[in-house]
Amino acid sequence: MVQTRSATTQNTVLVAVFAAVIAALGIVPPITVGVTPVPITLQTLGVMLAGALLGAWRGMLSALIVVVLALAGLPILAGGRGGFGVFLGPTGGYLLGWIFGAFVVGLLVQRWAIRQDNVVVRHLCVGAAAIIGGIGVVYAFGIPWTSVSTGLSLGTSFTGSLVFVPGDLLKAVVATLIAVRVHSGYSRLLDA
Amino acid sequence: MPPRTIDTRTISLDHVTVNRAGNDVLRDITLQLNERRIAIIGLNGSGKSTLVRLLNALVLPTTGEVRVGDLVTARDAKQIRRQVGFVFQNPDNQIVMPIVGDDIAFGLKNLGLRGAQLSDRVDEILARLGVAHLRDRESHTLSGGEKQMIALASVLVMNPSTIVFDEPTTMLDLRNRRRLQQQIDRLDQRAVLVTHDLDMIADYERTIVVDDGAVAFDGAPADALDFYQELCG
Amino acid sequence: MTGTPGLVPAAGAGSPSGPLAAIPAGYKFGFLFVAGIGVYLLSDLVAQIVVFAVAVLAVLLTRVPVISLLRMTTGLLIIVGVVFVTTGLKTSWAAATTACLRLLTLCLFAYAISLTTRFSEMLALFEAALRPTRRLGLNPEQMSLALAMTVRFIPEIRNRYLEIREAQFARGLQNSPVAVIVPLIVRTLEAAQEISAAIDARCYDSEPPTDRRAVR
Repeated sequence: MVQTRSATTQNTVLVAVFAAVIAALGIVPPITVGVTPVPITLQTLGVMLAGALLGAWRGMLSALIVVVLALAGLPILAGGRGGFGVFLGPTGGYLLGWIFGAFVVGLLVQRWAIRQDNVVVRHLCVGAAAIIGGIGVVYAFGIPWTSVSTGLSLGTSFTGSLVFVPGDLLKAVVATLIAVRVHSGYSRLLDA
Repeated sequence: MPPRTIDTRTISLDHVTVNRAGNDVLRDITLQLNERRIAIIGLNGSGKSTLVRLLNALVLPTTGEVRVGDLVTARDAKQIRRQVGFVFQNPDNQIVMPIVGDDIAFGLKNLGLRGAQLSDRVDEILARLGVAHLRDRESHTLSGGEKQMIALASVLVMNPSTIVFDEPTTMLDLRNRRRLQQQIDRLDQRAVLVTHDLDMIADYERTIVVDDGAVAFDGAPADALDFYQELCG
Repeated sequence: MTGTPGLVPAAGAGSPSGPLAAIPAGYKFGFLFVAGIGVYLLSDLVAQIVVFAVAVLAVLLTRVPVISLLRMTTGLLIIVGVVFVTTGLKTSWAAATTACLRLLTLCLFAYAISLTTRFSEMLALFEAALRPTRRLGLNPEQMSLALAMTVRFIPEIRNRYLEIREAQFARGLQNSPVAVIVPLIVRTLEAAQEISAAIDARCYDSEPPTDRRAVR
């Protein structure tokens, strides 16, 4: 079907609704998954998904919008937080990291991971993308920020951040399962 | 209130075929739409929704041509959308601004209006539909009926000469259905209504039955309903 | 403002008051920027305590109830406690005091500014800040629309999530985020199609016109 709907409008809408998904996942009740005793919030899952489903640029813009709205004071960060205080606080770097993390997840998924023909390999590659971008890149911003903002050494900040790794790995697995499933239904999502 | 002189132009479809992924959704449709009240009925998947999306260039014909007056949808989409407004089935997807008043203003801003002129038009349309009190509400807090009324207001405020309604009552209860019907009946504009709600269209001038991508019947509502009932078996 | 989102802090409940609310957002952020550098330049403990006291005063001037303030900053206070003990044991208690005073001062100023600035005012400031991104090929008008649409659809998507989760609970899938989020994403993608159609139908021009001719 020929449509005159502009691709630009569609991209703007996709960026916006995925930003809304990231935000919504931060304010719904946390869930308990499998073996972890501690309920985890799903917000970083949203960040991974935005990159994995929309690709680098649009995924990054979705994350950027969430960060901007949170800074502007909308209570959309996990636990209903928001405002500039969160940004300048010890965990502000992770917020900044989301923007670049979503970009890297998107880049790896669209250029490499989702193109794998073997379904097992595809899952593994998307998982690797989610871990590299959604954990590696995000922590690469988060840890030094904590160190600067608190005066703690980089090593101590790093050790402290390890508490969140199991939960985030679990989210990377969940993001992988979701992304591969959705892409097989919407194979043209990354075309634009 | 601005003068409501509605200059309704003929909408014509000339041998229009719409093909989607190798299948013909609509086949060789030729129609002239002149009447003020036109109903379009048909089974789910018959192609009626695609048919009305041709009218404001949301869908373009694969072959053939759709014209509004002397404008052609394939070429003049932007001007045509000023002429032909569109109310969608689910108002949740049509309301895009967080605050009701801003949503009504959205279309007007796209037409280039600003300042007092803009807010006057917003106030006027909300008052005309009896929903002035909703102006500062957050969109997501509205009830289903209120949402559909705001979706209508957001189209009406742009002063189109034709308004297409794509199954606008599907999400509404009986009372809100009646309310919306009253508002549609009251319009000076031409209305093209896609519906499964057959009692809404009893006094329409023309009813088109779409079946399997083609016009199966075109005529007075009473005859159309007989035909449709037979079609449904 | 509470954690449960009546999301747009517009008229009523969370509307900012107090003397700081009257100061334009741009000045407040300018101050925050200077303060951000300033607290790291101050090495004198007395000066640090004075500035911290000013920050506390600024937060109290927001007229937000102290209980809400405490609830908002619980997470921060816990981290500050941990930092104090860790730094104190590892380095010195003086260094620990300085680090914590800096962090608290800056965060309190930030809270004071957030709490006294209207969401719409804040958004306008960010939009102004995004304007230079035009050179990077981004379109600031599109960003503004996207920001507004996100605010519009957060409660919608949150409700949809809760609905789907409830349905999956009934089918015994309560611990499967995949079973909830896949349908959520699919429905969201379908809605996105309709939303873009609805925006185009209302004459949205993604290419901003060079001359905006008013219509009648």
